[in-house]
Amino acid sequence: MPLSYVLLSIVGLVVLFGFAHRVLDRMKMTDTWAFLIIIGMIIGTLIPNIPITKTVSINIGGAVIPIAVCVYLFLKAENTKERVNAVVVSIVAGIAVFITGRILPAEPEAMIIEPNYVYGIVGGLIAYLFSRSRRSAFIGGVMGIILANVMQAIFNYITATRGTISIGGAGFFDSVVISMIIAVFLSEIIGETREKIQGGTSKKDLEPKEGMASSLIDTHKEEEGEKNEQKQDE
Amino acid sequence: MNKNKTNKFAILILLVIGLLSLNFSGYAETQPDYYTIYDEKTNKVLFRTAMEVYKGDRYLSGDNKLYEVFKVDKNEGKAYAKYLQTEKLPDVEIEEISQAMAVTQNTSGKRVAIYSTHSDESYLPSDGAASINGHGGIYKVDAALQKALEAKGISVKVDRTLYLPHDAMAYSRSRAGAVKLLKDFKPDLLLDVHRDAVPFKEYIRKIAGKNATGVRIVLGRTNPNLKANQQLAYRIKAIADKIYPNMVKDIFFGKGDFNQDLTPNSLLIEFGTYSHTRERAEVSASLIADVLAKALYGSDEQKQVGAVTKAQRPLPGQNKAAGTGIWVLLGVVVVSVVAFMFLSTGGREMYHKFSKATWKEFASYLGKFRRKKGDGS
Repeated sequence: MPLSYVLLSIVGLVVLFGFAHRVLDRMKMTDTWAFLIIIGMIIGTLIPNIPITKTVSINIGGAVIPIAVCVYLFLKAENTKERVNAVVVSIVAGIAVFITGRILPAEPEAMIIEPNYVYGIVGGLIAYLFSRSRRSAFIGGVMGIILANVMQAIFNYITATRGTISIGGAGFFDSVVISMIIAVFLSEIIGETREKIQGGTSKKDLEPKEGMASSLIDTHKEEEGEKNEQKQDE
Repeated sequence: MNKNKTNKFAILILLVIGLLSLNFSGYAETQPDYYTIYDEKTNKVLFRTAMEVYKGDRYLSGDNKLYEVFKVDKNEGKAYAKYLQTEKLPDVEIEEISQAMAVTQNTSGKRVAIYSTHSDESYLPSDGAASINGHGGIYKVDAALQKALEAKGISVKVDRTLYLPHDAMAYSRSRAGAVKLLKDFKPDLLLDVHRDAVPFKEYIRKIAGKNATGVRIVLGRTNPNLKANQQLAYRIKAIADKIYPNMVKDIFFGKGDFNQDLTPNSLLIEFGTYSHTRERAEVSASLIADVLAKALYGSDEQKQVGAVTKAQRPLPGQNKAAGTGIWVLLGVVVVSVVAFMFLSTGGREMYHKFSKATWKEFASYLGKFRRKKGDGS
């Protein structure tokens, strides 16, 4: 069984048990919708691709449904800044994945890791690093892989390379799933952990504004912050 | 973390990724034309390869000795492998296999599907180039294999879709073709046909009195079906060693999936190399058809259970091997769920939940979380 199905099943279970509640809330989605999307993506891979040109086609589970989710998130974004961020992240991740595809060794004897995973990991990491929210991380993770496919189609057209491209098809479906999960997972886990280490959102205003060393922070103020935190905990 | 720091962190990570990927590609200018791999003890040349060699690479030699590379000298183009063990290939009795095949001779539904991920691969002396932008000479090898298999009463489907350019992403593209073949055709065996890129001395040989080429079977080490695929590869080599000694040059354990995770009966086969004539590869393709037919349909187990009409007949022991894969997957699922629960709730909270677990605890499993204004992302 391909890894992507296993991963999607795990995410599906996580959603069913309600563990992904907070992430989904922040992505302005409900459990039911998330679950339907996962099912749709799996079933979508089994449906034949939609042809675009003679050599380029698009996969329903690996591209059409994820793009639709991205468009929804894009429209639901809080402000223009977040929208711009999402677009930039997608393009950066797309270029990174495309370049990775070009420089990884092609011969089976020379490979050191399954390339599909590398694309997913590269796409997901870049999407996480450059994004400012879970929404743009998701958009970057998904669109990074899809844009890399589109770039390949353009590259083939320009260099007159004869090859068929199935956007989000089979192999890239794994990459899309891995990338999207890594991007959101990292945003959620590392973002939350960083927040916890920092002492919670109640302290977010206590950070020095101009990158000053911590010893220069007004310690009295910090104590006050802790008091607030304790009060809230009670 | 402020913006400045975040940016620095991002740039640092990017640099690391960049450097790592450069390392992946082996772009170093000092890279030799090809590597010679020596046996650590005897200093005997094991094999040569035009590809980058890495520590941990495994290789089953023609005489069934399993080696693992433990030292790579980039500048000298040398690598050293240590002998691990002699693999015991399955006992095959060609006569019994032939009898078993006679029993199932008339049952229909024998299918083999073929595709070529690196569509451009060609043979320099015959095709005029080692790589062709379009259908390379490799498709003529596919055709030779198809013809020979069909002569054995096996229906064969060759996917002639082009998956160019010749790069690592080609496997992701050809995966779509492989899935389609599996879904529409339901083959008993899925073959990805390639040719190698090493000096021809490594491959050329006489098989059954004909000028032919050696065949290398490549297995994907990371794929969950490895055990099952390996059994099939060993069985093919065992049969080939009896009928056409020296035909299967070796078995290489590569560090990818090569789409072999899609089905237990899936192999990547290299028919010779670019610098000898294509005709040699076509001869080997015609000859190996007999071996493949025996390996797939001459199973002794099949004789006991009678004709199995269902496609995807498992080979002896393959069910068990596939079972191992499922257990590994289950393990992964359990570990991931626990890790997710741990990470999403925080260690202390988790400990509290397990140490003072009550039904009340589970009633609000996620616990309350406060939402503040503007805390939207």
